[in-house]
Amino acid sequence: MNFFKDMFTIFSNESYMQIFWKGLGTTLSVALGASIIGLVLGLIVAVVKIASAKNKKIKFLEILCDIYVGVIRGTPVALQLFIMAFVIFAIRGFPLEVTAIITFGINSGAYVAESLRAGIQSVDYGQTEAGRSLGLSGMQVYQSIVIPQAIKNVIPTIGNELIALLKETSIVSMVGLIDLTFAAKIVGAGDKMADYFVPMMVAAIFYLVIVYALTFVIKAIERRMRKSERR
Amino acid sequence: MSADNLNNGDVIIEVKDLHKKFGDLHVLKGINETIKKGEKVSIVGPSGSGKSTFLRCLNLMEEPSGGEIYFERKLLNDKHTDINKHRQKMGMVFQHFNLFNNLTIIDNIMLAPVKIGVKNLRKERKEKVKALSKQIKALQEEKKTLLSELKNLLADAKANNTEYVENVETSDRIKVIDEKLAELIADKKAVKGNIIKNLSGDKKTVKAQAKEKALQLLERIGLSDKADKYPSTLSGGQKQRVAIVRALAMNPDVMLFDEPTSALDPEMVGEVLELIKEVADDGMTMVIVTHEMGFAKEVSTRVLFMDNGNVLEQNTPKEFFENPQNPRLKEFLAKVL
Ligand SMILES: Nc1ncnc2c1ncn2[C@@H]1O[C@H](COP(=O)(O)OP(=O)(O)OP(=O)(O)O)[C@@H](O)[C@H]1O
Ligand SMILES: [Mg+2]
Repeated sequence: MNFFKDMFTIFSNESYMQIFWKGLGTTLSVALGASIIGLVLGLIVAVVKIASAKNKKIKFLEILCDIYVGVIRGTPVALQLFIMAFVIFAIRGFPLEVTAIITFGINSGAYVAESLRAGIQSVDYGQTEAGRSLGLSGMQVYQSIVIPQAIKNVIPTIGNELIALLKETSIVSMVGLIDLTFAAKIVGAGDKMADYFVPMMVAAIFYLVIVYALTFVIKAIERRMRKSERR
Repeated sequence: MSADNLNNGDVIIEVKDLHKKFGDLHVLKGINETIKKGEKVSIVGPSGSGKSTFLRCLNLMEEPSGGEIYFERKLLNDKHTDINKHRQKMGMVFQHFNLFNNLTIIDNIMLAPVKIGVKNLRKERKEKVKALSKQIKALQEEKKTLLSELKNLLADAKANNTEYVENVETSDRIKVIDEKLAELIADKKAVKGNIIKNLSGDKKTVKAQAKEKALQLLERIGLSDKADKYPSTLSGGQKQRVAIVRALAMNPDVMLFDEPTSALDPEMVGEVLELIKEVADDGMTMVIVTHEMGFAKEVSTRVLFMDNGNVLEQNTPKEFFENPQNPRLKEFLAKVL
């Protein structure tokens, strides 16, 4: 029964909750900002990579994209965060939160790019051929036919990536940014609860609620897109 | 127009020594072919003989490895040719329909007319502004020359201490130029203003026209009730008929069909062939790759036999099927008929 009592203590203690709310805010803003950067960057990289694979004149762009995706996916995100926080943005007064958003944005961009590229390539080539045979330019075909279908194809994958991203942001505590995970650690420290278990459980509940909400939204979007094409 | 041009007046597609290689695979081995306006040319032959490749070279869906393809006397496989412009006049129908899965039936038909219509309108406007600017510049140059001429005359008169006689012709011309300039500059301003003001309006007009046409086409094939449905809800025969009118929506001068009924259930072949026949009867120039010998016999004005990357025989359908000459064709017909 101690567990529930402690739980109640946390939820009814305003100063504890304030730490959690602050942590939650950091987690959400880092995840949201990084998602936006990741989606935009991913789309650009995916399109550039496919376009440059076909056009020999801009071959170097393909190589550039490959290096980006390879390096980001081949190294731990914690290391990337350290490099950003302690080397590149090691500027006094530079907000850690922004460093985190940029790091995770660049990181998820690589994963999004790969999923989108796979999604674009999974669109039947006949779709492109039909568009080009009507006299549409490659760009017009991409914009009106290929990209919309690719996005529909990859919504489940990208959704999973965004969920993974949300959870991965917990490592920002390693550079001293107070997110949800760090908040639990603070509340559990000796000068407060002097017990880590229950605060960690509270953090877990927060994460679970967000993840379930996200999953619900993604499923709803998926369903709507599928239904619209069955009309 | 030269005599040569007059003689070729009704040639719509001309293929000279067309070669196509996929890596080491030599698929087309020097095809020469002339297709005239209104002809309905069927292409038959064994699988892998290069029929589809030949057809797809005609609108450059495949890049030829050698030779020349002329469409309406324009060399298509030239890097200065705007292939998109010419493809608008060459409709293509595929074996697997290739309707756009993310668009409704009516949007499938309207997409190209709207996109291209709006683009062309903008281009037209831009070109108009460019032409006006050029005219304005030329006039300004002329005025400058005339003014300096006048100045020289005046200076001469002063230097020689003779009386300056006004050159009436020149000053009149300058007056005319000034008037004309004012006019052109106003024109340019108006056109430029219209571009910004009318962009959305133009789009609406283009869209409305495209929609009207699309609805007519759907009505023609009896699928008006499917306008707002998605392709996945249509039968194969319905999809292919939509694909055909989607190509027709661009008002093409020629239609290319690649085995339009091969992917259909037998009971749907009839409705698609019926529509193709109707299009043929409307006078459309057509090239059809097909395995439907009966249809080729009935609709074509000419039948080609392709084998191993060459056209081995061609004739009127009657002669082609009743009196084949080439042993390979005899063998082929014995197998398929
Ligand atoms: N994109 C490609 N890459 C490599 N080889 C190809 C390609 N397209 C066609 N080929 C090859 O070229 C040859 C001719 O193909 P094509 O599709 O033109 O034949 P076809 O006469 O249309 O046959 P079918 O009646 O089976 O449709 C075949 O051997 C085919 O495998
Ligand atoms: Mg074929």
